[in-house]
Amino acid sequence: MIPGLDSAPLISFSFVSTLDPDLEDAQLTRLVRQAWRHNVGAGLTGRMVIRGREIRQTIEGGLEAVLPLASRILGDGRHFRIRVTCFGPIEARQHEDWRVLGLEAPGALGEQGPSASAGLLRPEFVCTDAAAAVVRLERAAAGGAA
Amino acid sequence: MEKVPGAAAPAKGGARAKLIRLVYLSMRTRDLTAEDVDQIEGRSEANNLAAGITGLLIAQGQYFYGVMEGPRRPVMQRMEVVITDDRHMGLRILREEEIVARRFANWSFARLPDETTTRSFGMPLPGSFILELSRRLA
Repeated sequence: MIPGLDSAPLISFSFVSTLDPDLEDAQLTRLVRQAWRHNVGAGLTGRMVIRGREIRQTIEGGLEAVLPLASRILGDGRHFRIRVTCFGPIEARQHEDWRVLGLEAPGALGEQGPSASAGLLRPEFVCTDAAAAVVRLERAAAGGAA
Repeated sequence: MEKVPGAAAPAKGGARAKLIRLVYLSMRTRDLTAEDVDQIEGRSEANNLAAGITGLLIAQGQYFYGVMEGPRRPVMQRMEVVITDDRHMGLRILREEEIVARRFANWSFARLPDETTTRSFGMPLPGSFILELSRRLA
């Protein structure tokens, strides 16, 4: 429960999708940055996990915030092979904040990441701060990251 | 909302079978009990799984909203079942199109709180999710 945010029915929307392979790294950067800004600003919590061009997301929050976002994602032609894994009411949030994971993987921007069946991300793949992750991604996209 | 086995594999009827996507909207004809909705969820999953159909079905308030993807014949057969289902009325096909690849990799069912519930919290939606989604997909 997040005080001040959770007076409306809570919804969770989780999915796995493959991003358009023609999506350039800079576009991916913008996508992640826009998602982060929007979700934090809208009081949404959850996770975005990126492995290569595969994205796993769990978005949770009030009905009035989750549903418009879910409709945009489902209608976004940059997502392919969307596998909806959860979509419905929840009693309480499972995440306290919005985080992006997987962006620190070397080569993750332009190469195929670990397969979906590879299990949990290795610790070095985990970024615990979404803002820092976006900065790193932007640097990598600009060719400035090691 | 389990994975539909076979959804990631070539479409039933052969890898070269033409795929179509149907987007539809309907209204329920009566108040449905939780058991009614459970039955719709269970049957739609089982039937679509068997037919190699992917997509999603959303129940929200008085609306049902569905997206079906798969080989033309099984999709049309499933659509006939929906059309003749007396729990639906005013069914509208919002879009019918041939597709190169599926957009949805599984079949899922969502039961969303209706707008009446939302309004009771003093936050009316600009439009139902279902109608909004239909505009984006259709």
